[in-house]
Amino acid sequence: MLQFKLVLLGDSSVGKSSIVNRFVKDSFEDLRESTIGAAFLSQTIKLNDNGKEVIVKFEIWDTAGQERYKSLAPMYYRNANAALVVYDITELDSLNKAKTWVEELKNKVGDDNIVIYLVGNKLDVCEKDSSKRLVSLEGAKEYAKEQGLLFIETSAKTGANIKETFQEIGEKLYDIKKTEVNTDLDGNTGEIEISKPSTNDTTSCCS
Amino acid sequence: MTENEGTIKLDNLLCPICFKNFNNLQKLNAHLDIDHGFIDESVGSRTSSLPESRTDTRLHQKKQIKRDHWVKYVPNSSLCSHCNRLLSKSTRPLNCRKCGNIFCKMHCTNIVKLNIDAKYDPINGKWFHCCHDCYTSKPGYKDFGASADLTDDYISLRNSRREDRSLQKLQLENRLVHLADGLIRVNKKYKGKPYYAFKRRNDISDLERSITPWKEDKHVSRCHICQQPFGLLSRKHHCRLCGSIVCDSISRRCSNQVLLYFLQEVTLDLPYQEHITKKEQMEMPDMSVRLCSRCVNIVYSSRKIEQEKKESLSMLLSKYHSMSTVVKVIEGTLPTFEELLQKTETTKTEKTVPNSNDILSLAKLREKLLRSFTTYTVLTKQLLVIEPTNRTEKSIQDSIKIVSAEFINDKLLPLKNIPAVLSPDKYAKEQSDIPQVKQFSEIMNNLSVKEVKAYREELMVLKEQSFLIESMVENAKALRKFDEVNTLSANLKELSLRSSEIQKLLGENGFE
Repeated sequence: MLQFKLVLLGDSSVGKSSIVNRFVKDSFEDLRESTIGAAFLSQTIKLNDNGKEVIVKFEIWDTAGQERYKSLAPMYYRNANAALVVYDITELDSLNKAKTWVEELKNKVGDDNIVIYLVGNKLDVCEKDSSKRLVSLEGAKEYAKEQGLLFIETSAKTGANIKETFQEIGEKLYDIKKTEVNTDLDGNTGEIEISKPSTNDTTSCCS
Repeated sequence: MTENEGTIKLDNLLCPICFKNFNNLQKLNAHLDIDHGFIDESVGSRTSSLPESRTDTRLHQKKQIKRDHWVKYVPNSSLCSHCNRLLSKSTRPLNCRKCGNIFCKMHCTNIVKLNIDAKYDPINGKWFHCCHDCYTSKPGYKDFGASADLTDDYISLRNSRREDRSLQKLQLENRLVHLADGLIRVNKKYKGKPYYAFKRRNDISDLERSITPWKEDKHVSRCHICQQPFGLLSRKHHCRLCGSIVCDSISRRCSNQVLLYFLQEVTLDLPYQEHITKKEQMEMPDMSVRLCSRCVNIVYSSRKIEQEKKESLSMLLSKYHSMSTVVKVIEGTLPTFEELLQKTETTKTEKTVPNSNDILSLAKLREKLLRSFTTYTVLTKQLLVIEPTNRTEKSIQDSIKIVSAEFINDKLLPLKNIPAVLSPDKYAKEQSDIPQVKQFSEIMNNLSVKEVKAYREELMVLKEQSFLIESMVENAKALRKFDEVNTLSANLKELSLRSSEIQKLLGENGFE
């Protein structure tokens, strides 16, 4: 069984916890209290690798979006295999915040070590009333392409694209893992890298 | 009640208002109702129920105020003329005795003196209920009561008193001049003749009495100033200037022996003919004048204060003055500096090249500020070295110390964060300036207030999170999800590591 560490980042009240809840418990609450610190949840999914069934387990850290808890985030995105940077498509500021998160991730963790997924949430609001949309699909898509991010728009309320998102992350991470293993085998090192040393840590002793 | 009162027989029933004598209570009541206007409709039966004698009826009719102008009370349709509320028995409808309009009881509470024709009669009238309008329109009514302007009286009184005082001062000063001259002359006369000590004392006493008429001892039993009685221990003394008799209590300082030299030194503007030198004074310590505290205030103290005002400031105060000018400079430059900094910061976030002029002036301002701060610290250090001459100076010094430390913490530390926009070599040069100044504010343990705050906040968040994770671990254990427990406890370890790191950084600024 493969295990991946996954972290959700983004401005407060964009729907990070709702997305996780939809994915893990397949439920949705209209009135959700804001998260304190970071919540931990886990969920397994099944992948299909050329007819072979692979089980992937996600360890999901759902961080609080409030500024106060910003200092906790590095602890959770460090060593994470994937990061879901969530924004609210009815809120322009949340995309800007998401962009700063992407920048921070790239600076602190590095592009190669983490899969970043840009997620525009609250699609259901715009489906009902398209005037509520403040972040255009095209603009966000372009930004994602530019930065080399995966991109999707979801709705935690209706569940649209949630499962798909995690499935895609699972596949992507599985692919990366497979190539890593393959290259290791090719190099005949025989050693299995358990965890990569984290560079550019804010908390490392030489910072 | 009425029946009961009727049965009580009392010999002396006096009207509480006019002290007329009555032989029973009903008569007194009737008297009060009619003559003093305490008539009340709701208990109107009282007057009619009393056994009316003929005189009473006549009195009744004669004194009854006229009622023909009254507005009639009609149940369920009469309205209060003031508040327009429907009148009923419970609201006690009442006619204003003056205008006759009908009111509820609340709006007919004033009383006014009226005669039986319902005209204003402040002298012979009786008190009757009236409405507010009739009350305010009575002759001589003033909204705020009577007032009289006494400013002129006050000013003239004050001027006359001031003149009196200046005259008194002049008199006292004249006496002082004569006394001092005389004393010095007598002293010269008997100089080197120690055998004539008694005669000298006599001469001095004669001189003093000739200049100032002394008050008679017999008539005075208490000190003129503190009003304490004289006795065996507190002797009577005469003030040599005003002649009044005072005690010489040390604690109350009603009178003092003032050395002539000091008196003359302070009152040099007076036309002395003879002067005593310091040396002479040292030789003859009894060359002094007994003055009561009032005369000291009038003649001596006011002059002394004026002189001290003119004297140059003490070292401490002059240092403090230069410190405050430096503070003014700093406070004047800081806002412009911050503004410029903001400007360059924004250009930085917009990823454009900041204006080179701005950076230049920013660097200049920074240099100026740092120089001012160095001057400030140097001045503070110099000030703290000065040996305080008395307790007041010591406390002043201490408070200056605290204030300057606070000032530096407040204003200098924000300066530390900026210089990234300035060119790196300049930054390095200036950085070497900072620690020197900063050493002074060792309180903060090399962390700025902002940093300490941020670290504390982070520590708090970490503690919160640790608590949350702990409960999560418990939860996972209960659900027997041991792989989750592993992940969570790894995180918990990380959290505690980070928080201990911050604790170490904070040092004594942290909290447990």
